[in-house]
Amino acid sequence: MAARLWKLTLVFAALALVAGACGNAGDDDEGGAPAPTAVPAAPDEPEDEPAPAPDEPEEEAAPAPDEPTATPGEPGEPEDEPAPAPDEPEESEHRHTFVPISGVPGVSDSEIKVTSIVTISNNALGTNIAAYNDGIEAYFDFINDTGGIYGRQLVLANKRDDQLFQNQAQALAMVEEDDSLAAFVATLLFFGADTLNDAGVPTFGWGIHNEFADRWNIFGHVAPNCIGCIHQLWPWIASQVGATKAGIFGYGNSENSKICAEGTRDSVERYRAEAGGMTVEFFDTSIEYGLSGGVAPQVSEMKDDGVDIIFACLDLNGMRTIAQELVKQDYRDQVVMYHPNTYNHEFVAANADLFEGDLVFTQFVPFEADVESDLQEAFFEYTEGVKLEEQTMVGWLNAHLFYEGLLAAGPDFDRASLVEAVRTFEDYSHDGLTIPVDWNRQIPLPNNDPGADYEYRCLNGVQIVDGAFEQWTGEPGKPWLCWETARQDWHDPEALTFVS
Amino acid sequence: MTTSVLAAGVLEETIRAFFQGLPIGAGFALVAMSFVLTYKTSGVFNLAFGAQAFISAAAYFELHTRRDWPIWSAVLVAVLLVAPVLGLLLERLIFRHVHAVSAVAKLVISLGLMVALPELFKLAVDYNREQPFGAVGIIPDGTAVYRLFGRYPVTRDEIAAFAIMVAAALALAALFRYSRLGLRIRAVVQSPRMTELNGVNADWVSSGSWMLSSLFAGLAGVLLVPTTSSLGTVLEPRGYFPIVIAALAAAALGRLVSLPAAMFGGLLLGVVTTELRTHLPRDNVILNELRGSALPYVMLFAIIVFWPAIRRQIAGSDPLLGVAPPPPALAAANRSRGMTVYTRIMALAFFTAVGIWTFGYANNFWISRITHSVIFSIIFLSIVVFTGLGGQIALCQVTFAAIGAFTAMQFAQRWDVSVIVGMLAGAAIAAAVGAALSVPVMRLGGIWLAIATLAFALFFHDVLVKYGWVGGSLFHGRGVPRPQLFGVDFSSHKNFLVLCVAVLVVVGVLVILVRESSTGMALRALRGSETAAESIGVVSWRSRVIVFSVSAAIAAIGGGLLAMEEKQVSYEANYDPQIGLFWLVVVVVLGARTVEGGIQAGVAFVIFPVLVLERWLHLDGAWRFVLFGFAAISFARHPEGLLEHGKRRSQAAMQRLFTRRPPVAAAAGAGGAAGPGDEP
Repeated sequence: MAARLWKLTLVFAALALVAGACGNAGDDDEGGAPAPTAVPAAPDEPEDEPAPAPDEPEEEAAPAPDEPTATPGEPGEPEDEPAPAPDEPEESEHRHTFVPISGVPGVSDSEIKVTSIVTISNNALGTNIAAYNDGIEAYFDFINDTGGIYGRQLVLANKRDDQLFQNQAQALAMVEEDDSLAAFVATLLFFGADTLNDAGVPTFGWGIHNEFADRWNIFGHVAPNCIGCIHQLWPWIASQVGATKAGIFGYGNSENSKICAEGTRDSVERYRAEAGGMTVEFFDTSIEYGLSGGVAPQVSEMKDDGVDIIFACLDLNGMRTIAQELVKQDYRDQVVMYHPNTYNHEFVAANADLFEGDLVFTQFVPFEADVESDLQEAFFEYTEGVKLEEQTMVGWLNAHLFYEGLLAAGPDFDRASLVEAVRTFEDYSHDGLTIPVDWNRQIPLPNNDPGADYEYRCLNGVQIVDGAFEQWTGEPGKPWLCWETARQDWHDPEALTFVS
Repeated sequence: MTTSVLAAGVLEETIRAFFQGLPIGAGFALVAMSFVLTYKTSGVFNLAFGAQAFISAAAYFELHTRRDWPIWSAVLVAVLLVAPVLGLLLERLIFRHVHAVSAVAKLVISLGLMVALPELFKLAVDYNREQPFGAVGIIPDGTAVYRLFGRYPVTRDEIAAFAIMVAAALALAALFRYSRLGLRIRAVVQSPRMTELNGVNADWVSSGSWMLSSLFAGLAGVLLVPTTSSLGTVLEPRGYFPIVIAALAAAALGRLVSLPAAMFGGLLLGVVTTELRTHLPRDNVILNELRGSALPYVMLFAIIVFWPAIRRQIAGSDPLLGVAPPPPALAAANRSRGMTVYTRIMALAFFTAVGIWTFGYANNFWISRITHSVIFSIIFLSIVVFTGLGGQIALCQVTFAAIGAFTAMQFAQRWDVSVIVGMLAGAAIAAAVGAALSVPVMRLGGIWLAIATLAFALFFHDVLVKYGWVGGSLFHGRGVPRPQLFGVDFSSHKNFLVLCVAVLVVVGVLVILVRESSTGMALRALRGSETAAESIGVVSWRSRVIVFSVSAAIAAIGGGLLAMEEKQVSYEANYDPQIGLFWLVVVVVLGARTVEGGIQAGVAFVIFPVLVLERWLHLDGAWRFVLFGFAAISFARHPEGLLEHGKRRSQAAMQRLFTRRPPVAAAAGAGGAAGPGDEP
């Protein structure tokens, strides 16, 4: 017994010694969570006047009944439209200037090579994420057909398959092979973010993950978004379709989905008076991804409660499951569904009866919108014959930002100057196809830093009619409906375009 | 509102939930009956059932949805041709040859098939050429809605699934109760030789029963497509996993042998699930979990642990278990001194060469891969302890690794405490959880222990990880820093590799010490006969608690290191319970009894797919699942592991060559020929 005690004492002493002698690499003495990946202080960072937290209720929220409302389909006010966002960088006169470059990965005298990492196999969502590569290649064809850039052709040289969640290893392999100037990433989760960022690889991607925030070298097709923040967007949508009783779903086993659902609930409750006495009648974040047990009890409860609009922070498969159950319980016609992730033409066409009249929202100007964008025109031209997906456009937008960054970096570019150049874009909207981003400011998650939020919170949506999409928001030529982020009083959105 | 009105409302909701639960329960029941059918007709606890169901469903999808075949012809091929042929092949090529091995060995084989079969099918038909999107059911106009009693909606698909389930139950009951074939099937399962003495061709009966059970799997596969949400949209093998787990609970109610119990168990599970979702309040965190995904896992665990019939079955099963021979001695134990010296010199030379290349020439990608190998070797040593030493199968080592990773993360993020301390704390927590888990499951053993631990792993995965105090928050990242120790900074790839190698050495020595300790000896005694071991003073519960705790702690240390290596907890990539099943397959295939086996498994798990499949052969990464999965078949013949087996053979050859003496292992006959019934 004494011997055992001695052994135990020795073990604990050794552990105590180890504990006393160890720390974390890169520790500072500030304590708390490890700092996010180094983000150089932007020289023209906004002053210390953080915008009010978007999820803080405000006292003076007053409805503005007299203000003109940009109802979907109605023409908006021609006057007092905010000045369109300043253009993205124009084509530089030195676009075709050739400067010999050495020592920059992926750059030869004739080519600029990039690598993509995309979830191709084992994709549990069912969507064709590989279409992302089509978008990149279409854009590169577009540029190469007009002489390339700096005397070189743009080439998507390596297409790596993430194989579902293996992108960190793929990213490391790409970094070590050192044969690409930049990385393009469209994956279901993004574990390789730090690997690429720490190696200084300019990375462009499908910016749906939190890893696109706080990393200097990484750019999404949109800026980091404020998931779960309170906003009048949802009650406003409900008011437009005459709905007053909301049902809200989120996956319990997905933090983003759950927080999105909670934000929607809080938003409806915050603006319930302004939205015609709207109420949250049903709220469920206990459902699990895959919905293997179905949603029959939930739909029955919504039916009992008279829910007339469903906001669901779910993937397109989850939306289909709910819609099927609504049909089964003969309640589909009484409800409008708000889809955040269903901009998939093939899927909607295959489920036309299930989704008739529903609203689908996109992070870019949808293909159906009437907008005078040269970039969108070129997109259609260069993707002719390609099956268009959401990811096709995302790849196209990423490639465009990459190209514009190269132009801004100048003919003697390298990885660092490319990133620096993109970070100087302060009002960048992909020729009006996305909401303008200040890449110099919008680096952290707005959830953690409200000052990093968009200047406008905008909505771009389509309605499902006969299995196809029709533009629902805005007006001809002005597809976006936007609210100023800083204003939290109830006010109508304005129809805008960001096309130069 | 009066009480009677409220009561009427509750009654109405209850009846409605009953009818909503029946179709879900019919799906569970169909799968549960198929499980029971396979077990009754083959004695195999067939975890590959979901894979078989997927193959028929995917074949149907491929033919009908993608190639526009009519429904009837696609069903004919997928269910009546593909499924029975698959069953026949499995029986002829695999299970016929492992009839006499232990249930655990069969479980390992079925795990391997579960991993390998879907991937092989997908490679064969180029399934990933497009997304498996838009599968539909086999009943025309299957979404048409009817109303039971004029008010409770049910679709034609659901009616069909229910009717087929009932018909199948009646047909199977008739088959086993009244037909000669049913009698022969049961007889062949119990004793093929005795049956043959009576003039029955046991081979053909066995083949027929496998074809029948596979046909049922195929039928369940295609029938479940429209009635199960996750399958109706994206037809992937993963979609069957939750259904199989729920059906396991139903099948467990009937101890895997009672078809009526499995059927009613499935229906009951479906109805109870829906009733709970209807009536449980949402404002209680724990009860809310039971509305979500936790219920099937909780029920599975509870049924296995507390259902009296299962305890009786365990107590009364396999009377020969008590006289199982001890596992054969390791090759190293029978080696001549000269061979030992030679082997050690070669090993030293090999590791020196690898070390020189790694630290002198390898780039960060390869250093990272090697570091991953070392870390997975550590994690796999936990399987060596539990399976190799303890002789049992646990399917929750991945959960213990996750506990280590999350604890290291939480210590660093919340309290700015060293990740090393966090990792050690994670090991302590995992050990405590392992000890607590061992108490209810320690008497189970065999397949029931494996399934109970799988239920625990799934509970952790679907329920606990989402809580911030366990899995952290994506909004603040799951970042994990590299450590500093005694002033040495381990943030560089090379330094961190050195640290991992040091930990591997310590853990390896620990495992050897456990093996050679009184606990190790007790475990060896318990493998032979628990009763006999207790009669000589071995305290079985203490040994089992120790082995559970030690293996959990080792897995947690590995999990913590993995998080540090990747600088984050990549939970979905590394700690998913289904990945844990693959871990087990890799380790037992290559060698679960020795430290070397665990290390070789770690190296093979990480390096083989990159070096051999990707770089040399330019093959799809899915081939690793196919190759390791099918290699699991070898487990029945070589429970010591393929590498140990190869070592014995090469050792025998070398000794013949150098000493011209008959090798001891070969002479003893124990080396390559583990007796049937050997536990791992």
